[in-house]
Amino acid sequence: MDSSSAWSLASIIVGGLATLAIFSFLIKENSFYRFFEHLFIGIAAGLGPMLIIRDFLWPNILEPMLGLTVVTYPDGTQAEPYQPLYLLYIIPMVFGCLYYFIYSQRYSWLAKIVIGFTLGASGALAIRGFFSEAVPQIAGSFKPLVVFVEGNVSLLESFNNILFVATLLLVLNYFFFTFGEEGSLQGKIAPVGRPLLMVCFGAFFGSTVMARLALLVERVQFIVRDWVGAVGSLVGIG
Amino acid sequence: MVTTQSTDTRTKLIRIFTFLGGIYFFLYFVLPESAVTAIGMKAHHEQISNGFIVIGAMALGLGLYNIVRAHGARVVFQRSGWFNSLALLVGLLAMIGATSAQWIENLRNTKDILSVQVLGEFAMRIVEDAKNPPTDRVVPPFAERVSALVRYGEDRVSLIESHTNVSVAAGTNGASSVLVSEVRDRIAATRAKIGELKTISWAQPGDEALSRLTQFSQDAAKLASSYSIVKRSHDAHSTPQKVYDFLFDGLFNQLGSAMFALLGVYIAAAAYRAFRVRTIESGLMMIAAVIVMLGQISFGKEIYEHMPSIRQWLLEVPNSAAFRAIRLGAGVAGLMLAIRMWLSIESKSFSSGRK
Repeated sequence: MDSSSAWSLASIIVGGLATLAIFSFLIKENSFYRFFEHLFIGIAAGLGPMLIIRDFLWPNILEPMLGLTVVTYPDGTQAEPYQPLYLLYIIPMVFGCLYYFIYSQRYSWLAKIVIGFTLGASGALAIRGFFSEAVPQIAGSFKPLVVFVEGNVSLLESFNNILFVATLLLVLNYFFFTFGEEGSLQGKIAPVGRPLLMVCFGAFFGSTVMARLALLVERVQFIVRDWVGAVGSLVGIG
Repeated sequence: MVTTQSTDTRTKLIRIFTFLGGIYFFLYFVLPESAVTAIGMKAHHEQISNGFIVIGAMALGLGLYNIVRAHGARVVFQRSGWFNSLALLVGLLAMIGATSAQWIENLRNTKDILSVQVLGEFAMRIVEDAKNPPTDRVVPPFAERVSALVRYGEDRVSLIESHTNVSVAAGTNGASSVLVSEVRDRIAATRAKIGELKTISWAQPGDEALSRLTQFSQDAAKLASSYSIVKRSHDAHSTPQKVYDFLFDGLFNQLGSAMFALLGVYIAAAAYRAFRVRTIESGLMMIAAVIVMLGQISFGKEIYEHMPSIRQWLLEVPNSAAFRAIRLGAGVAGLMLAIRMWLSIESKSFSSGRK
């Protein structure tokens, strides 16, 4: 067996063991499950920062700042000059280091400055995100209530559009004014939004269960086809 | 002892920085494009946005430190569950180590490939500079540059040859023999072109000489392209890559899929236990869920031919409209929260400047 096949076999066997360990939770919580759960958290915690460093900090910040993207030709000339503006990235780096004052009892307020700065940026981005996402959606939601196809009224499409607009307005009404004033029109139509909301939740529930079950089927297939085969080949019965 | 005055100053400072943190993105959004372009915000937007990400990225160490501190202490003092903490730390260090090793190997190979790509680019740059002499920088005399190109070319070609021979001899090269023989053909072609360049007198750059250099540049680019494929293929079979794949595909992906699949079982089980069709609304929810589930599988079509179409209609019309309403409602709430957060109205205790 060559080295690539050995690694691939090891990957399948360990992957199968890990899957079985996670599924063993269905019987009851056990140490086999907890061991692999912790291993998963450890791997995820190690992968996240490395991906940020490898895919963002190094190519976008450190490499250009250190001038490593500037190509030097064999005669000593350079493809393009070094951009000293990249050195400005030192400012956010130093500013970001204020996070570490969170461990100091005396200077922990310095960490709050950088946390506040990040919160402020997130807030402004959320404001921008709302308008750039919601406004086109609002405009797109108000569909024509009577649809003409080749000069004739399309009953099905008109019905769909009326239902769409009515559902949107009724659910929005229920969302904002759950309990309307007794006797008012708003109070009378508010409860109509609830069954429509329930249909939506039901559809969500169905989609979620199906997506998760598809994963479950894939896992069972992996165990039955790949893992059993790999274990069989390892012990010499495959 | 912290005085009231200094606490007030800190509070103001935190609020000012919170406001400043958001002002850039807010202005970038509200200002007209012409103004954003005129003041240079558009040209440097990517770099400025990266600067904001850098600030957040600096907190990476905090997370790692906290994990290592909490679980390290449990292992050192052998508290309950220390073995699991050890597994977590081993997973963490193994992943950091494997990703770093794979990354360094990748960087080394990229540098190697770039050094070959430079050959063609340099030849092309000599041609361009000869046609349009640069005014903003000083370049060595033409003959000197060609001489440097020839020396560098000979060096690179020998290096590629030895790398290709070594990896084939070691049997670690995943590239097919077709690719390797292509690299060898390109090496021979480039070497022949280098030989031709040596025979020409480069005192005066004539049209024919420049045309030879252009041809050399094209050959060198082809060599770099073939070499890059072989090198990347070799990279995919290196030990650091295999260890990374083992951890990523063999453990991370498998465990992640298993966790999500497990949640699917629990969602179904919880729904079976807790869900009771007592009202019209819960009945509607159940009907919608059943239609969506049956419409997605072939069994649903066996029960009723139009089940997939009904599912599609349900998702596209009532579900889409209700979901849009939910998103708009949640979006308005989110907008209010964002404004309060940006203007430091939301959390007085956070911006109080106290410990």
